[in-house]
Amino acid sequence: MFRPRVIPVLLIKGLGLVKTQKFKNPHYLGDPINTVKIFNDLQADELIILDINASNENRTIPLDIVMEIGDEAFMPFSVGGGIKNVKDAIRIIQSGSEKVVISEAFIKNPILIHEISKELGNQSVIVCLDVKKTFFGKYEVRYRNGRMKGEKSLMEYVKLAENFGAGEIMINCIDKDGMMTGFDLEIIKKLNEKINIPLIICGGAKNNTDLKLAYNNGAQAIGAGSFFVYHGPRKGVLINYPSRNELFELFGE
Amino acid sequence: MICIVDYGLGNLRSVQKACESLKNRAEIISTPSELKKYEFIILPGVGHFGNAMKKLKDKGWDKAIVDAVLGDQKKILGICLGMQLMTNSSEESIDIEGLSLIDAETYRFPVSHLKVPHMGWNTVDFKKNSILGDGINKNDMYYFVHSYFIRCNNPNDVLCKSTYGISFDSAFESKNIFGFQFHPEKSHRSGLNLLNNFLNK
Repeated sequence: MFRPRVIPVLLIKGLGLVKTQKFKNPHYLGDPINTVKIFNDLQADELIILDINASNENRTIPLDIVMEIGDEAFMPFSVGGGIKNVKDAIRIIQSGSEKVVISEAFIKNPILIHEISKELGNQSVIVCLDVKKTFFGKYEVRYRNGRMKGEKSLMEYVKLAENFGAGEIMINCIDKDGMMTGFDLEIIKKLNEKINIPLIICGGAKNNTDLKLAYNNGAQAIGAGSFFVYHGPRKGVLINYPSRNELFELFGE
Repeated sequence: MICIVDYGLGNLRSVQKACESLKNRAEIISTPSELKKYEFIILPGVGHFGNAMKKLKDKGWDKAIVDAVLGDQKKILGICLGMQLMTNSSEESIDIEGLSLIDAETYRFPVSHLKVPHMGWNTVDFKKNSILGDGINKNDMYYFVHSYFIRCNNPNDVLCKSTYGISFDSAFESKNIFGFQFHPEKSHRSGLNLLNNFLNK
C-alpha cells in the first residue's frame, strides 16, 4: 500500500529552531539537531529543513548543520536556504541531504532548476513557492520571507518549475503559516489538476484529519510545522508525530 | 567486511551510516581492484541509468563487479538505481546495456493519474521464503523514489512485489545476488531490519 508522506517542516534561524506565524514573529523552540533526533526516534517519514535567514544574509545553510542532521536521520531529508547555483546544491547533497529546496533563486533565475536537475536528477530538486492570497482571492508568489513579490502568476511559476525538471513542488501558504486552521484545499485542487509531479502542501495543519483532507484533495505530501512542535491550547513546545500505525490506518481506507 | 562502491553517484554516507548502526564496518571504495578485499558489495545509486553505466565503465567497475559476483561469488546488494544497473537493460537508456547480473529488465512507469516519480512509503509483499524476510511485518513500509521499475524474467528471482498503479518487483534474490528498489538506509527500523538480515544472517 502506497501512502503519502507526512513531513515536519523545520525552520532554522541562526543556531536555533523557530516557528513563525504568517512568516513573522519567529518563536524559539530549541536546538535543531536535538529536534531532528526526536523526529528520527518518532520515525517521521521525511524532514524539510529551511534556513529562513540564509537568503537575507547572502549565504547558504551551514554545511556542518546539514552533516549533523544527516548523522541523526535514518529518513530522507531536504534542505533549503540561500542555494543560488549548481555548486551550492552539490555541496548540500554531498553533505548528506537527499534533496535541495530552491525558492528565491528559482524566482530570479528559473533555468537554475534545469541545471541542478541535470546534475543531480529531478528527484533531488524541490521548488518551494511561498504563496499569498490577495484580498481578491488571487494567489501571489512571494519571496524574501514574503516581503517581495514575484512578477509571474502562480500557474506560470508552477509550470516553469515542472518544465525545467523540478522533482516536486512545495507550496507554502503564507496566510496559513502557524495558524493551525486547516490547509488551503482550493489551491491543492487547482494545482493538482495542472501538474504531473508530486505536490507538497504546507501551512495550516492542526490535526490528522487535515492531513487526510489535503491528501484527498490531491497533495502527494503534506508538510506541517506547528502541528508537530506544539501541544495544547497554550502551545507548549512538544515535539510530536503520528505513529506509523496511525498513519497506515489514516491513509489506508 | 562490506564495501560501498563509489562511482560518483548517490548518497554513500547514509548507506555507510546504516551499516555502522548495525555494527558492521563498511568502507567506501573508489577503485575496482579494491573489491577483492571484501565479502559484501553494496552498489548504491541515484540518477540516470545511462550516465551511471558510463561512470561504471569508465573506471572498469563493470567487469570487476561481474567477476567478483559471478566468479568469486561475493554477495552483492544493489539499491535503487544500483538495483536497476544489475538488470539487462533500461527504458531510460535504450542503447546501453546493464550489468546483466540478474535476468531482468527496467521499464518506465506508464502514464496514469499517479504522479511519477513513485516517491514515498510503500509496503512490500514477500513472494518467496528467504532469510531476508525474518522478523519482517507485512505492514512495514519502505521509502521509494524512482521513475523506472524492474521486472524479473524468471519469477523465481522475485523476492518482493509492490504496487504503484501497477505491480512491480521491489526486491530480487538469486543466490548471492540481491536488489532493493527502496532505500533500506532511509526507511527507519523496517529498512534497518531488512539490511540486517542481508548483512548478518
